[in-house]
Amino acid sequence: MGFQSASYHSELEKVFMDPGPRDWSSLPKDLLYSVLQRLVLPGDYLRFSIVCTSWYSAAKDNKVIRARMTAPMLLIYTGKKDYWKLYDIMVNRFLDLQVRVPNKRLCGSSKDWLIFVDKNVADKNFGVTLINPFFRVRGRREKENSIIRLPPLTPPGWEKWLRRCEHYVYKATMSGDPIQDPNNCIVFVIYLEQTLLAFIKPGKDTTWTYVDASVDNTDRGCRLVEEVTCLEGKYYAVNHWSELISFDVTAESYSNVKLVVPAGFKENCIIKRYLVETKEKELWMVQKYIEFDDEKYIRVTKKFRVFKLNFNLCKWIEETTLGEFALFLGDNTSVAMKPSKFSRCRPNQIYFNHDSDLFSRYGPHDYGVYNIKDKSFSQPYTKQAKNLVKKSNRLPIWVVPSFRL
Amino acid sequence: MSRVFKLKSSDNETFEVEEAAALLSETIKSSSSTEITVPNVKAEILGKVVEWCNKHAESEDTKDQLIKEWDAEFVSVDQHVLFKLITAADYLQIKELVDQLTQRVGDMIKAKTLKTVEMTYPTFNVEREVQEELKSLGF
Repeated sequence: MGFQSASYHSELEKVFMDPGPRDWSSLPKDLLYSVLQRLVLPGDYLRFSIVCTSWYSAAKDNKVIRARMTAPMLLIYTGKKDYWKLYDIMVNRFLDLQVRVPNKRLCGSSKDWLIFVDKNVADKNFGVTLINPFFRVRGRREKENSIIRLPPLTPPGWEKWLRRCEHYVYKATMSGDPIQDPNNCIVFVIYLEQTLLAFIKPGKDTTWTYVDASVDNTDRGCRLVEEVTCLEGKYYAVNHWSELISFDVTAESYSNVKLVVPAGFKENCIIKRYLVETKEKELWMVQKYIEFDDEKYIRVTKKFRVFKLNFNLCKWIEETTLGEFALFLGDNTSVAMKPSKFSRCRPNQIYFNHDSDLFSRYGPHDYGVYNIKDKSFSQPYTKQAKNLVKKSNRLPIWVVPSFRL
Repeated sequence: MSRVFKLKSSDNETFEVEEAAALLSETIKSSSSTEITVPNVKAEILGKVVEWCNKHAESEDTKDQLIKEWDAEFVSVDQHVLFKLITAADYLQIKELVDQLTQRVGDMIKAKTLKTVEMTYPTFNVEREVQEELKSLGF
């Protein structure tokens, strides 16, 4: 686990440094709540929790504040320099801080990490970089390992994309955590032009592994991939034909590529697909149906359909409810979470973002919340938030707050 | 003619406070007597609270920049003093002072300058427990 890292030990030392008189351990709960409410980030909440045992209990007992801290947040570019803001949709408020993240297209996010393509001007190539915005708060000291640069992406034909490399990766996802869980951490990129798959283990691999498109000698296979996820040590990719392909990742390679669900009935509309694993060993595919209005330059999401994988029948079975889950979809690694009943996040809803399209560049405006039960849409964000999204002229992205020191 | 209140600290020191300053405390406001003993609060701390009340009673406009700067300096005290002040302000129910002091604690947490005490069980268990709970919520 990540507890042995050097920076963690120095944090631990600070904790045991000053055993002075213990006035603060006897502060009444309502005063502690008063402090808790002023804290902005879950990292601060954790720091509060470790002050002493009574503070820890107070933090744990305040379920409302705790619930607020666990849902994904919307990262929105401010339009100025490299400053971004975090919008908490649970309380419909911006966090009272800014984070420093380059003014570039973010091609993915996973947990508290953002992923973008980084041009290396000196070497005339481009690579993929991970950045953690929660450790890059404006005005606070930046944490050393809040940026991780991965090796350059060099599949056949990459040179043509040097100038427009920001768009070379259609979507990037990550399983595991590069700092806390490096043995199980893999970054996947879906890159142009056929949206093929490549992956790398940060800190372990020196080059990317490019996944061959052919699967079982079929025409389709591992191309036009839309998302990759991991379930119980196995990796799954869904493509444009709603096919599900599974494979194992080995040291600097992959094996055992199998077509799990073959292509089904072809629908005559534009669909974006998301693949999400719940922590209950289930695999879901979400289909988002969109329409483009090329005269008004807008994109509209018309509906969602959710499918669960039946492992025995190797089929997608349509679901009419998400149960206790809420989904967060967009350019991020798709998230399924069970909102606490103290949270304003409601289950059986899809919180969706305006995410990248392969060909069109409209947006951002196609975002909101879809209620699965009555198939209705809402856009419960403040006017201030909507204006900032519009002004930023960058697609916003979901990011999960960090609960680390 | 404004009344004069007498506040007595736990170590038997008495502070005389004018009505305007004293009534910033809800506890004093709802007290029937003008002589109030503040238990568990020593003179050093009670004196500072009185100082704050006097400053805020004499200033007409609390949004004034000068008083904001004065307040900022007032709360920039040693951690031990800070918590003693919170306890005193809480007992005396001086809402604005409690707000300023708790804000200061929050700022120290964010800036990582709050020194923590030894816990009865190792720190990493707390972090792990919080993370376990997050997992159960679906992360």
